[in-house]
Amino acid sequence: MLQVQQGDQDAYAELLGQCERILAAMLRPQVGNHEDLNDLVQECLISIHKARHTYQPQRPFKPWMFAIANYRLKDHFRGSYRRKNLEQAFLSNLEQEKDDCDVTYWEGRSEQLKECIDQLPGKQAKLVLMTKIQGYTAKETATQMGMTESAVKVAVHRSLKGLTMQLKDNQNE
Amino acid sequence: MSNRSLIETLSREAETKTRSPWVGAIEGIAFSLVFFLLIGWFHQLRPDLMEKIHDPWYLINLILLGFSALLSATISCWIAIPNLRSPRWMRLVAFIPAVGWALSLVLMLYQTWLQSPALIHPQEMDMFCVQNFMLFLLLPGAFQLYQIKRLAPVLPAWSGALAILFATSTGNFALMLLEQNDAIYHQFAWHLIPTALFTMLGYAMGPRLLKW
Repeated sequence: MLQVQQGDQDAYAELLGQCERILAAMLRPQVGNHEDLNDLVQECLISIHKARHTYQPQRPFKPWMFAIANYRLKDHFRGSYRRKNLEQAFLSNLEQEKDDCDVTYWEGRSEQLKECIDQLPGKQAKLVLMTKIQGYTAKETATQMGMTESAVKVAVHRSLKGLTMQLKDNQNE
Repeated sequence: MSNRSLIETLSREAETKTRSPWVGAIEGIAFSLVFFLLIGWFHQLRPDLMEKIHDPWYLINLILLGFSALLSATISCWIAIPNLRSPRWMRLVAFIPAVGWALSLVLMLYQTWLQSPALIHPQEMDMFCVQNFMLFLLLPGAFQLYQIKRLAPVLPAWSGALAILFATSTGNFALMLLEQNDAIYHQFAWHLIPTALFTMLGYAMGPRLLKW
């Protein structure tokens, strides 16, 4: 690190390489997801780079590096917890709204409903058919369609809204 | 971006100037000293200062506040240097003089109450006190937060609390030298309680203000 602070680029590259290996080994048990782990290691490397002026030559290097990694790990957990909460709130809102758009209101008009579903764009029609008529769960639909579960829920929700509007228009006519 | 290319990019900017936490602390103290001199020049010191110096309670409080300012400035910068081995008690040491000052005020309040509860009566808000307290909180406080941010605060909540404690301690220290109002209720309500509240606010706001 002393060589680094004097501007030795090769020493710095070697040091960061070693840090990367140590940090990956340290963070792997805490972060299960490979992508998250990679992002976190990169964040730690950037933080080490930003804080390199605070390294005190008379002190050992590892406690300095681990303190930064610890800080970033806590930050990462806080961020992912917040994101998870937001996502859950969003999905439960969707569930609620989906219940509000009650398609069974149009009972007895299955022909009309079928026509409206056919008029939907191909992917949306297929999603509605699978989740609402054929009885697949969002997870099963997501696997078959190669989408994420939340993307399926969002798409179905939008399709149902569109469908409801269309049925209302038809009724008004 | 892969890790390898990130390392290559970062290693191009290896050179850096080290920054000592002592420098951060000294700059913070110097800034508040200059600020105090300016305010002192503008308002003048209290006329009875020489007599008050001989009052042991006054002197003890002054010394405690001075120590609180020095310790909080130094420790707030020291804990902004990442070190997993830094002892936990270090951040608490800075609070000892401030707690001592608070206890001495509470003790004085209790003694006054024992003498006669009528001596403790709410006073009107003193604008001189509030104005200068806020000025110290805003300028030396903000400068100290900036000094900490220039390091790498890995305990931002504690750093924030200590930076605000530094500002309030210097503010109270300055007010003891400038303001002639020594009424114990005033000291308690307009000096001690705001100090405690703003320090807690510093703890809460630290992670946002000192994010890096």
